[in-house]
Order: sequence, then C-alpha cells, then structure tokens
Amino acid sequence: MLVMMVVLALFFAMVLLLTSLINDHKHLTNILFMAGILSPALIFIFHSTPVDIDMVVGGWQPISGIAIGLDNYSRYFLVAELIVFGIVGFYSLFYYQDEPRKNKFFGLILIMHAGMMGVFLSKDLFNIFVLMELASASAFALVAFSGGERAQKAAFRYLIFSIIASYLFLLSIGIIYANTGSLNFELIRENITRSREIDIAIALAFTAMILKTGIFPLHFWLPDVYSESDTPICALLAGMTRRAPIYAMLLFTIYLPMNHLSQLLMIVAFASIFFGFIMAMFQNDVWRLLAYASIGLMGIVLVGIATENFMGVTYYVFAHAIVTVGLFLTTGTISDQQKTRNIRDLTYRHHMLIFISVIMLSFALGSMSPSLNAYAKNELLIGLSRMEAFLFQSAFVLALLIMFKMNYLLWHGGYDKQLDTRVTPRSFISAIPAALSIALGIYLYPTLVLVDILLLGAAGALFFLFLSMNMLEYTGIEKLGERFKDLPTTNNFYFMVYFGFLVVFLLYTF
Amino acid sequence: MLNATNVGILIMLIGMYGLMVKKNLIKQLISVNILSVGLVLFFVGIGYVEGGGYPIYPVETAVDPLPAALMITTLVVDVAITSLGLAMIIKMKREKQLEAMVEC
Repeated sequence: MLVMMVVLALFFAMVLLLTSLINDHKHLTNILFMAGILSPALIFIFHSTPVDIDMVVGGWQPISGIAIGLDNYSRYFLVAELIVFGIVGFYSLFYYQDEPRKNKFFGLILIMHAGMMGVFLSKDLFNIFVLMELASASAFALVAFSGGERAQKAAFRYLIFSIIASYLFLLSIGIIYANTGSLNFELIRENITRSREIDIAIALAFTAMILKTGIFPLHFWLPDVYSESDTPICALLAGMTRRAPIYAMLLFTIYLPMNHLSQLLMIVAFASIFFGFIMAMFQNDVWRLLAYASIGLMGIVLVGIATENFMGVTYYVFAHAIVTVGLFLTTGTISDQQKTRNIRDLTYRHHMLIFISVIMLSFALGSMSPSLNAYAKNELLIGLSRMEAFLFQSAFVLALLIMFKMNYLLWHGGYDKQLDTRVTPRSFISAIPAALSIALGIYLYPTLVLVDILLLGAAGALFFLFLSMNMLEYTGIEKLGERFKDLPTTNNFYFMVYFGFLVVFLLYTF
Repeated sequence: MLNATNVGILIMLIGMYGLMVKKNLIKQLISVNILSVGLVLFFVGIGYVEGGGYPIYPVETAVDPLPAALMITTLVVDVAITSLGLAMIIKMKREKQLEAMVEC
C-alpha cells in the first residue's frame, strides 16, 4: 500500500498536466495539486505501522523484485518530506496565484514529490537512482522556469553536474551488482565481501552523493541555483531535494563496509562546515548567505555519517529540513514584497510575525535549546573524539554569528513606513515551520544546556568584535567567484575539481 | 583486456575528457551522452556470460538479462535530460538576443 504514495502523486501530476492541456481551469488545477500533495500523507497516516515494514513490490521474491521498506530512519525522512511539501504546497498556491504557467510548476512539483517519497521508501539501489533522477529532473526544469538567462545558466550547470554524479553513482551500482549479484540492500549485505572493487564502488558513490548534496568542495552549483529560483522552488531544493543523496549515503553506510573512508569523510565534513560558514559571513544576498550556511550545515550531517551515527543524522536532517524551509520562506516573503534580495536593503521590522519567526529559526539553526536542532546536535555529539567535539561545537559559534549578522542587518535595513504590515496567507504559512520547530523542540528537549549559553555568549562577543572592526561591511570574498564568469569555462574548471576530488577518494581507498 | 566492461569505462573517460576540455555547451552535453553510452556498454558487459544464449528459453547458460533491462531505464533518463539541457541552451540564447534587442 505504501507504493500508492508515489503512484498517487505521479497520477495527480499526470492528470493535472493533461487537464491543463484541454481546459485551463484555475480551481481544478489547485484542487488536483493539493490532492497530489496531501493524499500520500493520508496514506502514510493510515498505513504506516510503528513496526518496521519490509516488502517487495508485487509480492515477488526479494532476489527478483524491487524492495521497499519503512524503518526507523526512513520514517523520519518521509515525515519531514510530507511536512515540507505540505507547507510549500500551500505556500505555492498563493505564490503562483496569477502565474499563467501555474500548471507546469504544479505538475513538476508533484513529480518531484513522487520522486522524493520513492527515494525514501526504496531499499533497492537502482530504484534510488531512478527516483532521484525523477526528482532532480523536475528540479532542473523548475529552476530553469523560474527566471531569465541567469536562471538558465544556473539550471544548466546544476543539470550537467548532477547528471554526471548520477552516472558515476550508476557505475558504482554496476560494480556492486557485478560483485554481489543483487541490487537489494539486504541481499547485498549478506553477499558482500570487502575487495578493492567494492572499495572503488563506495568511493564513486560517495563522491557522487557529496556533489548532489552540495558539500564543499563540490558545492559550486548550489549558490547560483538558490539565488536564481522562485521562493517555493528554493525552499523545496534547500529543504528536501538535497536530503535524497543524504539518505542514499545513510543506506550505504548502514549496509556496506565503509569504515575505511570515515577519516576522509570527517576531513571533508569539517572543511565544508568552516568553508560554508565563513563564506556565508561575507554575502550580501540573503539567499546566498543561507545557501552557504546550508553548505556548512550539510557538513554537520556528513560528520554524523562519518561516525556512523545514523539516528543523529536522521534527527538532524529532520530538524534542519524544517528550519531551512522556514528561513527560505520567511526571507522570500519579505524579499518578494520589497523587490530586493540585498540584505542591507531588506528589512523585517515592519512585520511582527516574520520578525518573530526569523528570530526563532535563527536560534534553531544555531542549535540553541529548546529546538529540534539542539536535540539532534546532542545526538550527533555521540561518538566524536574530544578534538572533533570541540571543532563541532565551535562550528555552531560560527553558525550563530552568521545568524546574528543576518538579524542585525535585517533589523537595520531600509525601513520604510509604507510597507504592508498585514498578515497575508503567505506570511502566515511561512511562519508555520518556526512554530513547528519550537513546539517539537519543547516537547522533545525542554532543557537549557550550559554549553549552549556559552556558545551563544562566544558568538555574541565575536559579533560585537566584528561590529567594532567594521567587518560587516567587508564583501571582498563575494567577488571571488567572478573570475570565471563564462559558463562553459567554469564548467570545465569545476569538472576538473570534481575529477580531482574523485581521484583523491580513489587513491585513498588503495 | 578488450572486453565490453573495459571498453565501456574507456568511453566514459572519453566523455569526462570532453567535459574538461570542450568550451561549447552543446559539446559538453554530448560529452555527457558519450559518458552514458559508455555506462550502457559497461552494464551490458556485466551481464555477459561466456557462450550464453538468449535468456528467454530455459537454456543451460544464458546471459544475465537484468543489466540490459536496467539500461533501458537509463537510456530514458538520458534522453529526458539531454532534451531538457538542449531546451535550456536554446532558451539561454533567445533571452540573450532579447536582452540585446532591448538594449538597442
């Protein structure tokens, strides 16, 4: 019955696109869209059980069928997916109210919904590849639809690199199939013996997934894609699409022998954390700032994967998905209203609801208790060595520092009395993730930790140091990427980076 | 040794070379296609069994049909992505012309 979640979303996408060809009826489109978004959630509520589900589609033998399942990890991923798509679905109803190409956007979002749910349900390697491609292909199209020439360029780069990563992932699937004779994760675990070929396959798969997640140094496609797309699209990309490769990495870590890579993954993770947060400090565009911050936060997830802390990763992904969607929707709402994305001109001072939710989300992103992220952070700390734990905690000082900067500039932005202060449906929906994050945080983790207060104090002190040194005005790093403005040449360069990264991973396995 | 899997990986490397060197967006997209063709050959090579027959009748030795079946799906993905990429290139060009016309 769980397969019906994917099937229903795809079915409604198809019906929506077909009916819009015949008759472009506004309300019908909305109803079909919401049916596609919400009907999988209903199926999930009525058919998921607290015990793990393992089944093969069509009742075949596991060796010849496609295995799907629901376990402790995928359940959280799925719930996060349904929440994110629910919120963004309602938001885009209002966002695309007067958009003539509405049906195309809605159809593509539904296809993405189906793909994401399919990834989180599958326990089969090839199925993960196909459904991830289904989700990414609609993501490319959605980004390309969003804007002008710059959006096309961003989307094209996203497409080229994402598809290469997928093909290398497929190559690794081929190697694993040749060695174990199966694509089913459970059967792979039974038949696998560690060999050089398997090591190469795992290295290939991990580099591919690191690119698709957008972790430093393979993050280059990400900031452009975010800053060029529409608000709901960006929220979906940031909040959900990047979780599919994380889930694939999680399955690899659970079912395949990969402890030889953990040291290298740890280095990549910490590099990504510090690179992302430091770059975010010097951004002017509020979405680029959030994009770089999310590169850092994905590094935090990779720390959990390197230490094989599966539950920590799951909780963090769940918490982070909700917080990111909230941040992108709230900042998107005010930036659409004020027609600017520059953090120095933008302000949230006129809008109490958005002001409160951005503050709450900022604390949640810095993993202050009580929030869901604080709970997840403490889970992730398990299994880290003393040095790593210290670095890990200091990363959150940087995250809080970025949030201080963002809120400071948003408060002091170009305040104008003419701005609309009413609570619109869009601003109301964009405040839901903040409320959800805090409510779940209070329910799960109602304690105030001493370390958190220390981190907050350190971040505050650093922020005032920055302020007194006028560091907030410094934007030199932002121009760093402009040397390669030309799209084909940059693609060549970035592909060499990718190839080099791949070679490092392959050499490390020998 | 010259068998299908090795040649497949070789073709994939040619595709990667194209991606690193070619400055034309359409050529870059074609490089991705070459990469995928190499991948298809690699997978078909995996399923090959020395002296195997069609996997239709219950013959004693048959080639493994699963990799070939998977590759049909991959080809579909490849076609879809290529068409999407080409559409983006066309749209990029058109909007560039449009901007030039507005500026004139």
